[in-house]
Amino acid sequence: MTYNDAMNLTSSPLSKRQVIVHVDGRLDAETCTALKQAFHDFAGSGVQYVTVEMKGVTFIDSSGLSALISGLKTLRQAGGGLNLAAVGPQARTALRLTLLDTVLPIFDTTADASAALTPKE
Amino acid sequence: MSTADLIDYTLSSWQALTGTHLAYTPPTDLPPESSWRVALEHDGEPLGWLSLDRPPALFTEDQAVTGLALAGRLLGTALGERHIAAGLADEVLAAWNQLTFLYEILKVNAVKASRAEIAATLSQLARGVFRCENAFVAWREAQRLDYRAAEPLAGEKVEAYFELLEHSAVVVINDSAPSFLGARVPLTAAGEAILGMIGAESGGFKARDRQLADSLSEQLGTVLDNLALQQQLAANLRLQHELEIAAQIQAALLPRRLPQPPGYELAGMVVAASRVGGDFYDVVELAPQRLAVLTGDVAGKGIPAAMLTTLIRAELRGQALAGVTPGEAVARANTALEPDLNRLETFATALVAHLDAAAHTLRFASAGHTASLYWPAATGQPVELLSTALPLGIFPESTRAEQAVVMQPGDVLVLYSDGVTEALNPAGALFGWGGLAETLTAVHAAPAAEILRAIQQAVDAHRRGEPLSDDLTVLVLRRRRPADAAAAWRTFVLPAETRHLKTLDDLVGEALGEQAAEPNLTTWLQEFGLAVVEHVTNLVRHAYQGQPDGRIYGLFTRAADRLTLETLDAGRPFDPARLPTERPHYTHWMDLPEGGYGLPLIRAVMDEFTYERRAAGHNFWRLSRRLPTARAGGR
Repeated sequence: MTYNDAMNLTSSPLSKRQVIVHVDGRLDAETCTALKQAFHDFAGSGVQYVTVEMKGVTFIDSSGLSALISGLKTLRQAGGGLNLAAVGPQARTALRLTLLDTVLPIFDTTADASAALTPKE
Repeated sequence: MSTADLIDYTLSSWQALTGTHLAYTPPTDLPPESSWRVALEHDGEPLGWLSLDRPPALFTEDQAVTGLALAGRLLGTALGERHIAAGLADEVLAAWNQLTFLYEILKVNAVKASRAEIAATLSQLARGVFRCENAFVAWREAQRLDYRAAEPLAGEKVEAYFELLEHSAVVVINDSAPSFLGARVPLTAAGEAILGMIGAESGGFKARDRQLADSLSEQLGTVLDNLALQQQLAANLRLQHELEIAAQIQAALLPRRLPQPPGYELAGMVVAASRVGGDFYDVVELAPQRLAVLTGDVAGKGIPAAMLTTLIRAELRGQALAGVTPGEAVARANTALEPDLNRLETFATALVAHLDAAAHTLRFASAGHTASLYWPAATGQPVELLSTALPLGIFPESTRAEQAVVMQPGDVLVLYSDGVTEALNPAGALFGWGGLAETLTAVHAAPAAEILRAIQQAVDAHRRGEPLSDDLTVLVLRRRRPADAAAAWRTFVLPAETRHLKTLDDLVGEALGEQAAEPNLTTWLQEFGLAVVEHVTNLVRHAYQGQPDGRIYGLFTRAADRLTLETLDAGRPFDPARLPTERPHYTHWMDLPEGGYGLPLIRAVMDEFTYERRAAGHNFWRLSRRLPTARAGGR
């Protein structure tokens, strides 16, 4: 799915309840609404666990981070969770400056992030 | 055997067989009076009669009747076949003629012929094809009649034929002399045309001729339409080419490089609303520290205005080079040009400014040119420099008045044409003096070239895609400040829309200059850039609240030890109490806000982050951060 020319979202489902979202491009005030909407759409369709793969993100600001927080809260309230993976240097800077790196779970690889989310049956 | 021979043979054979005289009467004559007669026909077409004065003596009456009928059938069939053969020959001939006609039409179309040439050729041809005494092609456009005929023909007659064809596409007149066959030529191009044939050689124009005239007039219409189109195209191409040359000449007449007198900066631009325009500017170096700046605007646009700009420019240049003062130059230009401008029922504005870079005096005279903007660094309040005389070409007399200012360090003079202040946005609002003054308020500290860039971007941000209605000329003259040497500047003006945020990424790098490429500055630059985006996002979202005609003015200043961004906007005021004093701490995800991270982030990045509400309804922000090297030394 493409929401905006400056940002591109694709998702790969791992199961009915778990997906990986690949974010590419620029996540700012112009594009963050689309990401926020995507999290709500996932939650609405029964997805509880989302791994956000950040390696394609060229720029993220606090508007983009707010969309991630919105997703985190929505999914956790539904009993699930949201993890970040493969976070680039600019996004790490943004997470550090907002102190959100202290609350958003960040993993080096997408596999690790997804594994950490997999519900224990 | 000819038709006559065939008849003679039949009649003489009858004579030999019966000893009686058999007579043939052609179909055009009255039928013979004798009751011993038989009508000849073939396929229902009457071919004449055979008749006897008296029945042959040797035959019974029945034998005579049968014999006469037999002779009639034989001769009728023979004549009928001949008739068909002759008819076919006519058809073939007509088809051939038509082909010839079409071929000729194609031929005239291929060469670059005029309408008159085509008409002359085709009327000759039509006379041959229709076998008539005269033929003509006539056309009428904007009440003007023109025609070409195979033989001399009076104009009034052609007029009369035009009248005849006013209400029907084809007209045949055989019952009055001379006979006439005319067809209206269907045209999509402007005007009307007819094809006419006069005086059929044999009896009158036939149905076949009518058909032919109809189809030929259609062909002729295509030819004339194509011709009109071709000529129009050729004319357009020529005009395009001339316009191109005019644009090149006009561009060549603009100064290629503006002189930069010591201690001053000068920058200028012209954006023409159409290919060529009525605005111009020029700079003449009078002496090493003295220069004349000339600018003007001729009423109207396009080539006529462009031609006059070259005239006025030449006149003002000449005056400047002759060492004439601004007031005198404007007066002399009016004296020289008023008769011409008056005759052409137009006028022009002109401004001449002389700068003495040593004495720092600026003397100027303006013949009706748009008020210039003067920015005195001392007061920070823009001043209008009004014109000193009427536009050129209004009255033969002119004043020699002039004004003078002493330029202080940091003072800026902006000369511009009314295309700048009269630039419209989609809602029909003017950029205005207000837009220009606002731009200067925000970026007056930058060099002339950066001020010029900001003015252009501010006008673009105001227009939001609305086309320019007039040419746009801006000249910026600024006296440098001693401190300028130690800094570099970058200006920007953005419409208050989030989709423009991405343009900030490159701007921050450009503001930092060459150092942006240094690896040890990568993180520093990322942090600074992020804070800038956060700040501008806040202005779009909170100061302007999505108001589409809002503009955000930015000025980056890079000093030796720091990079600073100052912004100006005309949005809602900010409540300084909202400036965070300490960084927030988040303990549980449930308490995380979905927004509001921007201000603390800017605070964390910048060494200086201040807000000021100014009297003119402007928000002024200053974001400043020490460069890492400076930081290491400073802390």
